[in-house]
Amino acid sequence: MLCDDLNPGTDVPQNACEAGRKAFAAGLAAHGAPGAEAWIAGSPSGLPAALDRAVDCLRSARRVLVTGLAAATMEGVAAACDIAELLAAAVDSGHPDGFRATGPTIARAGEVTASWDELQDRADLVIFWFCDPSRSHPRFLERHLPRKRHCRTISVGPDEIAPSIPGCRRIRISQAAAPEAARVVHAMLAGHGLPDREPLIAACREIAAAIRGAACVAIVTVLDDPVGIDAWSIVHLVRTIAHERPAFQIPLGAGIAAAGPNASGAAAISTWRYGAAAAVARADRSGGRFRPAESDALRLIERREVDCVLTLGPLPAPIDAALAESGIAAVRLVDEGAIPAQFQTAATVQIACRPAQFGEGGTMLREDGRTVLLEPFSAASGRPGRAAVLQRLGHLLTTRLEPAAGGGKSP
Amino acid sequence: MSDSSRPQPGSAPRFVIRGGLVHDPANQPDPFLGDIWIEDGRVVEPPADETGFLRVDAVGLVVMPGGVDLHSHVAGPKVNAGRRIGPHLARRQPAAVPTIHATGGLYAALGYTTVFDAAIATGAAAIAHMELDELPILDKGVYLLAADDAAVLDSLAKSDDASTRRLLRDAISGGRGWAVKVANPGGASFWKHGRRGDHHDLDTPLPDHPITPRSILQRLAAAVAAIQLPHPLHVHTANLGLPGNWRTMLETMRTFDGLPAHLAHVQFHSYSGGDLDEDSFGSGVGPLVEWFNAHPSLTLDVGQILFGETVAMTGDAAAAEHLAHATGMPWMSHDLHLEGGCGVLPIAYREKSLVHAWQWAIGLEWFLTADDPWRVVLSTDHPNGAHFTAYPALMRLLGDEPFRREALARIHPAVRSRSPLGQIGREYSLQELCIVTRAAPARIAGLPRKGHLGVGADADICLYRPDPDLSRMFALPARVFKAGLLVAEDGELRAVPRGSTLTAAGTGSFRADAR
Repeated sequence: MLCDDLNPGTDVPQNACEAGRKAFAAGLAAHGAPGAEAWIAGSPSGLPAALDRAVDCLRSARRVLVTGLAAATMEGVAAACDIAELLAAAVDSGHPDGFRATGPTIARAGEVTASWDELQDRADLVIFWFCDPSRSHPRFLERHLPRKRHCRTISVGPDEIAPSIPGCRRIRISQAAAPEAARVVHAMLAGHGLPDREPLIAACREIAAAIRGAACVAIVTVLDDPVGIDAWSIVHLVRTIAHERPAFQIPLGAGIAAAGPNASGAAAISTWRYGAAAAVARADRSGGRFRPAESDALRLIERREVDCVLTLGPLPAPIDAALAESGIAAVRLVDEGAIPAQFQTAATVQIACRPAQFGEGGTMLREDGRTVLLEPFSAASGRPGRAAVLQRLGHLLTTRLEPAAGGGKSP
Repeated sequence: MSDSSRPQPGSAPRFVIRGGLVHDPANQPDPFLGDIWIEDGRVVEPPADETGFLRVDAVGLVVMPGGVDLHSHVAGPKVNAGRRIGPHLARRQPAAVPTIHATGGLYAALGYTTVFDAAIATGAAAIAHMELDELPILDKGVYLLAADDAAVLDSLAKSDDASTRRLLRDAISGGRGWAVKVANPGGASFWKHGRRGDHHDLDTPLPDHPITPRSILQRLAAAVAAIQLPHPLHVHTANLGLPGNWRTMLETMRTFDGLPAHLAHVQFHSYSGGDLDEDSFGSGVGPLVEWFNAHPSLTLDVGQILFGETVAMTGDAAAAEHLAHATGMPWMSHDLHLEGGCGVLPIAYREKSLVHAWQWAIGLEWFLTADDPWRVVLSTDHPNGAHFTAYPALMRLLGDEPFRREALARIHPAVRSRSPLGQIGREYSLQELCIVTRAAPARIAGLPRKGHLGVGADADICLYRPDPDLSRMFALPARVFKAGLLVAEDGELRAVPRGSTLTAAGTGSFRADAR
């Protein structure tokens, strides 16, 4: 999640949340710290040599995966996609469209959503559906939860997922029953037959009654289920409500658990370039091949369907572990001062870059759809930002790539 | 003078297109055999010294300015949603909503060299421009949905015309827009306040502002005229797609009362019938076209539907919700903070569907009964009515009456018998097709260097092989030049230059200081 409290500067911003202050302080401490510009097979190296080696790795690979896009600015993502097109590589932004086994929810049911601010502006019933934004999205509740006296809040989920909101009604339903609960509420609202499943019925009856009594319903979710049934069930429910009265879903992203601040921007560029937000089997501007649950990063790595990975930043833990386990060659752009030890030797090339907030400036897209312009950091270290590294890498690849070696960019 | 007949791709040489049958209705009422001289990407006077000018032999070919798509949807968050909502449509060739790169290539190969995205929320302008920067070849611009901005609505409701002008001017400058679009005036307010299924007319006050949709239209049109945007207010009026909405469109046209306004996708607003009753559905074009013909301050694009699968996308969430509920299709909507929203869903237009057949016939009726082609623009509201690559098929429907009659024979029998289309014998000439696809949209959009081949015009030029099958002729230009570069030849791209972004602030007319 990109947070607009974190304006670049030399001091830790006072208005940031605790997670933001920690992240900013850690970045500031690492920023400009002495250390190698890059590592080749774990040994310190200069940047030119590392770029040369990276080019060799990428050129010699049979099939490349470009991923970890969320760490880079829009300009960096675009440069990475240019490289992917040169190499006819797979591209995975990490968007849930890419890994859900049942396919993208938007294609099955659509999605009825709203900007975050609409929560405060309009909703008089807010249902936190199996989520606790206070953990995943610090300050979301503080900023967006309606303060109106007549607004009701309901938290649905197991005991361990319960946002701390004064006056919030807790309705306990086990995580495993989440899709069934959505289905039952939907059936109640639509007047359909109900399964014989107390106490779920009683819990759902309370939810349905609250919805019937509301003028505008908002359902807040943080969903990352790999199958997609949870996502589908809640989208279907919101759509049903929205036909009768104002209703929308606020589908929060991964928040502070996201692999980088620009997850939304990475998905947007992937979509306008390749027609899909993630799991693009072959980068082609004329229309990539979208292979959900087949060409996502985790599966490509686990199945050894790629033999080189270019990653722009940190990866989710399961993908990171799979990459370490696989022994697949990697060209990794890492934050300066944040070299993950387990990859010092296993990865082929690592290049230290300034984090985006201490970088050369650029544009990012927040989870709520707003673009954020990053100013160049005033006390920049000598290390390059990701976009600059990727542009140099792309230039070197273009000049060295023999016509027969790659897929080539169509005119 | 060189005798080369083939300007090199990627270069902008001096050259002359020699001996073609030139259609340049903005400068000549009739086609003529002639030469077009090009230098530095512009049309120039015949030089005194022809040395250094390459020659492009166009003998036997038809020469026209590059196409101008006045109303399309090619970029921005809702277009990205359209790409994602129908993966099966994305796998088609061409995809229902192509990638941004493919969009540029397909348009160029078709002979189109300028496109406007007709609905970009002000808050989404920055991301839309990032995407448009990757749209190759074409010059491009956006219409901003500034009428949905909360502050604009406030100023309209307070009758604070100075503030309205300032806010629109700021939105256009900040959002790098070309024009102001209103999508269902006040519709976002009705939608957000729960007026589901209670479709308002132009005189129902908004739930949260003391103003009616009619006042919004009047004041916006006046403000747009005052700040002298190149294009008048671009109007998508209320009740899109609903039976009986011809009355709303007629009231909309009356509302402007001499003020210039452009009526978008009129086909979707020209239905008779009532009470959401499909069986009473029919054409309301007659009285509308009568009014339109008599009021030269109005212009329109048709938004023709053609049969097949596509993706509907609109800034009018209420219309999308209605359509989604009627069809049961996946539906994506997104309400923006204090402002507008969008709705996106897949749709399939079928010849045997009563409603779809009426839509098809109503669009053609508009084309064929509007008197003045200079006030009419060919469009399918891509991708809403059909993909833009279907334009040649539409051109054949307009220019080939026997072909149209065959098509009419295939559609729903009730429409065949009740639509006046079967009694209309009009055929568009090549010159008229040139007007509705090039000269008129350029003039209506306010592009003095587009849509014609006079001295000073951008050298956006198409060479076509004459063919009695107009669909075949217009689908595959022999050559397409963009700013003097050969960009496409027989459907193959030869160069992929960057196009320019057209902004009102970059024109001489826009009054950034208007008070």
